[in-house]
Formats: sequence, structure tokens, C-alpha cells
Amino acid sequence: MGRPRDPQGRAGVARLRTTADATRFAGHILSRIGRTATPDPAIRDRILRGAPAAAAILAPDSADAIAEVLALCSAEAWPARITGAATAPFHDPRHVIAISCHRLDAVTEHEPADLVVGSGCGIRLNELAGTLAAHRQWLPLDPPDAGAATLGGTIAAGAAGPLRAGHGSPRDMALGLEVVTGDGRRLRFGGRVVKNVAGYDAVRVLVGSHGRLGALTHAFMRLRAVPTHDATLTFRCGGGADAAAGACARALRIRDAVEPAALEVVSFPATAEAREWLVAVRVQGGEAGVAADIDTVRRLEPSATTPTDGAAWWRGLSEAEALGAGAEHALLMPDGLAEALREVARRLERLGDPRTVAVHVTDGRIRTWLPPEAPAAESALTGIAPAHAADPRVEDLTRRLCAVFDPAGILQPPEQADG
Amino acid sequence: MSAAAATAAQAHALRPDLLRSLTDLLGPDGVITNPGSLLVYESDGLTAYRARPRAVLLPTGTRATADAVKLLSDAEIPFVARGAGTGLSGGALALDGAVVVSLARMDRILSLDPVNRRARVQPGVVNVELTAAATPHGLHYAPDPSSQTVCTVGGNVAENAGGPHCLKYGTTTNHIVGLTVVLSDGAVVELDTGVAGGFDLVGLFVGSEGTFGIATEIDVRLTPTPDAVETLLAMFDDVDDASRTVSRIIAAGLLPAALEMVDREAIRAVEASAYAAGLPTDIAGALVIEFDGSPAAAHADADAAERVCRDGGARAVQRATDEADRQRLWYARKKAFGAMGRLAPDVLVQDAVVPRSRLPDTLREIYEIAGRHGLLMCNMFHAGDGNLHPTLLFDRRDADLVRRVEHASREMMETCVRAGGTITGEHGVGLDKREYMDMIFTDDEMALMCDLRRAWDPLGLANPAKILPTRICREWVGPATRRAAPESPA
Repeated sequence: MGRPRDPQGRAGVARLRTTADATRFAGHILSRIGRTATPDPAIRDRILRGAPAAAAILAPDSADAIAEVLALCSAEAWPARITGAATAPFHDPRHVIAISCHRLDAVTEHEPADLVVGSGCGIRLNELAGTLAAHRQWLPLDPPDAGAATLGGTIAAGAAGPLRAGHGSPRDMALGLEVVTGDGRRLRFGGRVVKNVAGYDAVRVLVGSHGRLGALTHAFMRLRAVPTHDATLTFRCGGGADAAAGACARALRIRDAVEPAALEVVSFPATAEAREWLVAVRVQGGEAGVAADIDTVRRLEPSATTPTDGAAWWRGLSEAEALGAGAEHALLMPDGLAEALREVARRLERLGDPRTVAVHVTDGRIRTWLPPEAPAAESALTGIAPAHAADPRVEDLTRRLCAVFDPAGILQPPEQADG
Repeated sequence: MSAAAATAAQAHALRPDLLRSLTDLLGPDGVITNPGSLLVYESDGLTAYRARPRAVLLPTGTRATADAVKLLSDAEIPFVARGAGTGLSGGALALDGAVVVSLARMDRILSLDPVNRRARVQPGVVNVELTAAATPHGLHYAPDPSSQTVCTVGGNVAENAGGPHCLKYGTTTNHIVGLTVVLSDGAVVELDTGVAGGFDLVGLFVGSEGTFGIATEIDVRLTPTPDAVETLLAMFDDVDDASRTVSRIIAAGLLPAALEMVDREAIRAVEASAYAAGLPTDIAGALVIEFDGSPAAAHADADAAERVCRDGGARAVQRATDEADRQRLWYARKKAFGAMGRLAPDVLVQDAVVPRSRLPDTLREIYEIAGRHGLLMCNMFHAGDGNLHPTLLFDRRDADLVRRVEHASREMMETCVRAGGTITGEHGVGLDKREYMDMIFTDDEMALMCDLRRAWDPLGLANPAKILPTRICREWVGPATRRAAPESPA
């Protein structure tokens, strides 16, 4: 099966239109869909920082309007980019039509007995959390930008935070998704029930698709009851490369002893001479279970202490990561973390910069970031994870997959489009 | 054999040169063409449908599978992968002159990594044997379909199989992290959920029912075995009380590892069998509820659930005292399907899902439908996730009864879809539910699924005539395929 083509040729997608073309096309769209609501100024600014030549920045207030915009773009082979709150910046030099879904923010269904919520994808995660908390339920997702990110943006990025240890990621929580494809078809996959094997699992491939398969406009998400008890313990492992490796080993021992909701190895920017390594574990559940888990952790780590406000501790970590600059990440298997972190610690000692390091121990994800506004610095994680050779067959499948949802290729970032 | 039948058999047979090539590749034991031996492969667990394959191939590894598929592909012969043949939707049926590729010989656990909680297995590994291998390391493979002592991990991947414990632990797709896949042109591709920035092709493949290719190696996630398990059986005099209690348990903030329901007919069948659990046969229904975790947590949760059941009208609640007692309580649920054989020569198991909150209404409607059609029905199902298995008992030799069973099945499916549910929770669409797909999908949605299928299998050779209604993939073409048509291979 050859590479799919749109009638005007894929080169048209990447070809830079003139500013006059862009103005004309933007005007054409607005005349077709009417005076659409303007995006939130903060979102607009974030989009412009990454796409300064955007032809138009739209925030349609309905899935039908988004469908019409994408159909118009697809017919003209005009590049378009989808975003929620633009908390995950995209960089695109082209005269893109930027579409923010943040106005699709209504909770449409919430039956507490089913532990399922249906909502427009533009709802902010913290706003959704507030709605669910009234029924003592929650969506246990804590990506770094949970304060500002939309539900759709989080799903499209497949983003998760420390709670992935005990609760998983959007991949495990999305039950049904409505998507507007690159050529403006409104389609629904999955549904509002937790078990569903009817047809292909398009929901899975839409999660983590980063807007390349369409605009996510509505989602059914599986919820959990807010745990009645929630405790956090931390213990210090000392400074230096050996301590970093030791922290990983001790964290894995905790992993095998309890079922942590979150389990991180963290090193904050050092204020003294030596950078210190810390393990943080979060346990949730009923009173008896959490008490037993705390006892287990303290038996293994007698020096473990409890922060004054555990939830706030985790929020602080997430906010720091959201605001951080120069973020890097590497994915390893848990048994490779100790040696990897030993090497990272040596590099940081050499670099001497105020970088934070955090590790999701249960799935081997190392992240680093600098304070906001810090100057660009040398990479700390290059070569840490085994290199993954690109497989031409996988790339071919990926291209075909994108063509199924986006026949004209308008949603593909410039590095994926034909030159 | 008549001359006509002989001609048909000859036409159905593989060409001699192709047969020779396959035999050279797989060995004489790796190719079955004897009509008597092919009988075994004519159906899966849904015995109402039968189709004799042109041949059965038994490769032993990825390379042999790929080479065999390449030979078939060059000859434009469709194929269908088969595990243990326990599927309940006709997914392993060899339609359109297909050849069966049996994965029964690919039954090795290739590696088991306790620290990373992973295992790499061939698709023919039996589900429960994977758990047995992981048990010494304090781990298990969580998806536990009722057929787990026979069904294979490869089959589980094809169907995205569930089981009683998927309420807490998720279905098969939540436990697959990598696949080696043989595509329909014989190419081999490695898929991995851990690739940064990549699409979740693993998640898309799981549940594709063999229509995207054949998984020849599977990377699974293993789950820590809980320290403690507590099992309860709550008996109710009113089915409504039982089904409402399901929601009350969840509303109480509890998350059971399993939450199953059986009705009076199912209990009576079990109590009349060799697996009698000692339950009264005059109760309207029973819930089997299980909690796991730390001993303190499991015990506290079981206490809380017992209170909810008693407040919800339970006549009695039994708590398992040890492992043997736990097995006894589970007989009420796990042995029910097998016990149906005492009641009628044929059974038809539905597999619909409704939102948990709609269980009471839906159950009432289902009983009404069965009664109106004069049918004997049992219900045993995964109540915690609203996955119903109304089981109709009949004799296929009675044509009128068969007609009533078909009408009642469709009505039950429509009832579940109207309640916000779906047409299959774990058995798959296969052949059996193809024509129900338009109850839940629009033409555009099915056309996109058709395009997805063609993206993986442009030649249309992998398990043909499954999942999508025939009219969709033969007459309707989605936009992606239309645009690709000028460059499609001949």
C-alpha cells in the first residue's frame, strides 16, 4: 500500500503559504463558521509562542464547528494543529489553523453508581476534579500541568504523573472517545461501559496520539472512589552517586512490600554542597489497609517521616515539573534504574546545575528539569536509556494509521509532512 | 463420496505445489489435510457455526509462521490464527477458503523477569500455566477468563479477554506491553508500548480478533500476587435486591477484585452437578464477592461488603474460611456454565454489557424477554462491570425453538444497547455478532474500522469475514482507502 495522497498533493501541506493566503483562508473559515469564540488569552499566547505565524487561532464552542473547520482545512490541504490549553507547546513555523478545544468543557453525564463520567474534552482537569469530588469520586491522574491542562490534552498526550504507579495512565482510564478526524468526520469509539470489545480499539490508539489523528471532543472516563485514607512517607538516602543507586534499590523494596499509589525517587536542587536523594511513597485505601502499609514501610525504613500535608507535597512536585525548563526524560526498565541513576548523579555533580531529578520507580521513567528561566544547559540524560532503532515497518504502519484518520495529512507536524 | 462432493473437496484442497512447500517448511507433522483430522478445527466454542479449513498449519516459531504466511499470501489464500479454539464468537472459523494457522505448538514461556514483572511468551501458552510459572516469584498473570485452564494467551490477546478479576485488574489490553506480529504479507514487526512518541499500536492490535495479523511473541505485564484474599457469597431472595447491591458495594467506595452474580437456574444446575456447593436452591440469586490486598485491607473491605449485603436484603452471607472453602464458593459461578449441559443439548451465551446502575432494569427486561419467548434461561455474569451472560438453553433440532432463541437474543442485545451498553464485553464480535455492529456504530465509524483493517492487512487475507458486516468491507470504502486506491497493490 503506497503512501496516501490528497488530490492536491502532500507537498501542499508543508508548502509555506504567503501571509496574504493565510489571511484570506482564515477569513474564509470565519465566514463559514461565524464569529467563533476567541480563545482564552493565556491559551492564545501559549499557542503564538510556538506557532508565531499561525493563520488563525480558533476556539470553537461545538464539535460540529470543529468538524467544519477541519473539513475546510482538509479540502484545501491546509495544515491545522489541535490543542487544549496549549500546556504542551507545539512548535510550527507554518501558517497553521490552530484549533483549541477548550470551550468544549461541559460535563455531560455523571452517574456516580457507574464510576464513569462523560465530559467535553475541553474541561480543565482541576475543574473536573471539583465536580467529581462532590460525590467523593476522582479521576486519579496527576500529570505535571494538572492545574491548567484539559482532559483532552491530557488524553492526547497520554500524560500521567506519580499516581500512575497505582492507578495507571489515560490509557487505562479512557472508555470512550469522540474524535473529529482530520477531514471533519465526527466519530465515536468505545462507550460508557468498562468492558467493551466491539470493533477495533480505536480509543487506545487515540490516547497518546498528540492531535495527529484528530481533535478529541468528548470522553467517557473510568473513575475511582476517593480513598478514605491517603498517606505519604519520605525517607532520605544520602548524597552522591552511590546514594542515588541505593535510593532506587530501596524504592523497589518498598514496591514489592506494599501496593503504592505513587513511588518516586527525587533529588531537588541542592542548597548545600551535596545533592541528596529522597524516596517518596504514597499509600491509599481504607483505614486498616493504609495503617498496615505505613507499618510495613516504617519497618523497612525506620527513618521514614510523614510530610505535614502529603497531598500538598505531591502537588508541589507536579507544579515544579510543570514550570520547569529544559525538561528531559528517559524510559528504562526498573532493574536498570539504579545504575542509570548512579550515572545521572555523577553527571549532575559535574554539571553543578540546579536540576531536579524525579523517577517513577514502577515504570522506570526518569525526568529532569531546570528551574524556570534557567539558561539552557547540557543534557543530563543523553544515552542513559538504551537507544531504540526506528523500525521502517512500524513507521509504515504509523503512516497508514495517520492516513486513516487524516487522509489529507493536515494534522501531521512539519517534520512528518513531505518536504 | 459423490462425484460432486469429490470435485468440491478437490477444489477446496490446496494446490499440490503449495502443499509441498508448506510441508517442506513445517515438516509433515506441521501440515494437516486429512479430512478426519480437519473436523476438530471446524468450529470453536460456538459450535453452532462450522467451516472446514482447507488445511491446518502448525508452525513452531515466528520465522516459520512468517514464512508460512508468506507462502499463503503469495497464493492469495486467507488464513485464520487459532489458539485453543475456546472462543465464543466464531472468531476462529475458517471462512472464505481460509487455512487455519494453529499456534498450539508455540507454547513456550521464553523469558520471565520478576524484577521488571514481565514475561515473554509464545501465543500457545495456556493462560493458567503462565500464572503457574510466575507464582514462585510472587507474581501472576491477572486476566482470568473462565476458560483459563485451556485458553491461550494468544487467544486472549486476539479477543482482549476479560474474566472475573478484570473489575480490579483490567482486561488483557492492560497487561500487554509488546508484541511480535506477523503481518498478512509475511513481514514481521515488533510493537512496543514503551517507545517514546509512538502510537499505541499494541493497544490497537489487542482485540483485533486476528484480522490484523498473527502475534507470535507476546510481552506481558505480571502482577504481584496479593498477600490475602477474602471471598464472600451473599444469597438473596430477590434478584432486584442482588443486582442493586452490586451498585451499593461500589457506591460504598469499595473496589472488589471480583463481583459476580448467579441466578436461581444457574444455582440449581450447579447444585445438581458434581460440583454442588451446598447452596439452597430456593434463593433467587447470589453474589460472589472477592477482595484482595494486605490482610488488614482485604478483611476490612470484606467486613464492609458483608454489611452492605445484609443491609441490601441478603438472606445469608458466607465467608470462605480457607482456600478449599473459597473454591467451593466459586463453584456457584465457575461451574455454572459447564452444568448447563445437564439441562439442554445446546446453549447460547450472550455477552452484553450495560452500565452497572442499569443492571436491575436490564435484568428484569431480559427475564421478561425469555419468558415471553418461552425459553429456559440462566444468568451468571460479571456484575461488577455490568457484563451480562444470559444463557439460553435449547435443542437445535427444534427449528421453532431455534427461531425463538434468535429473536430473543436480538431483543436482549437491543435492550442492553438501549440501556447505554454494548454488544460484547469479552467474547468478541467474530462471526456471531457481525450483524449487530450497526446497533452501536454508524456507517462512517465502520468504514473507518474497515480502513484500519486495510492499513494492517491491505490484501484482506487475515481472518476474513469477521467483525465487520460483509456489506461494509466489500461495498463501502473509507476516505483513506479511496485516496490510496491508485497505488494499492494488485
